[in-house]
Amino acid sequence: MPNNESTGERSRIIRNQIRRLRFENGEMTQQELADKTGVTRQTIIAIEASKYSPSLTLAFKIARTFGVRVEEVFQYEDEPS
Amino acid sequence: MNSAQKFAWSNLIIIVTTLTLSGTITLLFTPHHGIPLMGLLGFVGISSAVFRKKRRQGGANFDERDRLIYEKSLTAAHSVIWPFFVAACMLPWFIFRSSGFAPVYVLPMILGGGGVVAVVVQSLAILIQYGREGKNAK
Repeated sequence: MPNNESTGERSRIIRNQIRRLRFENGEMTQQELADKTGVTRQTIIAIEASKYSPSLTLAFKIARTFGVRVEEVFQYEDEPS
Repeated sequence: MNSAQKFAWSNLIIIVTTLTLSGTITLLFTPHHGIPLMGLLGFVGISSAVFRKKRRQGGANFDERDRLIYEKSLTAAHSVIWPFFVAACMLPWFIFRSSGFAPVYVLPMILGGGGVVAVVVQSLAILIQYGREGKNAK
């Protein structure tokens, strides 16, 4: 399920810093993050790869797990062509 | 592979095996020998129980993404049922015109066929969605 949204001229995508934040937080594994946010590891993998856009609730849970703001985890950007 | 993927693979294997067996027996012997084997499709009904979501200790095994994929797969399955029944009812009429007739056992076969098509589409939709998103799994 693609997360990029067509806006007419250019598509946009939700990027994230989860991988970097995991390693900055004691090299947290995907499974540990999944357990802390109440989702499966497959979902964390899909979010990291920008293949799935999490719900607002999950986005806040992930940000709270890392102790940062949501916009520090997720960014809405132009997709590179 | 999670429980939804196992459920989808199980359904596809059961359906392909049953149709292959039934078709082969029908071709080798008679429809009276092959068609009863379609009863094996009943195993589709228990695959969801066999592969039910077992809760992993301390973690989730079904989340918002799984629910979204499941809902999309159901939508895909429902979207093919109506065209299937329209085609099953209208194509014979177009082919044989008003002079043709259909044996009464064709009606439950159409009903069963619609169910099989829906299950196949749902299973494929589940596998495609997980496959497409899981390519980057590490």
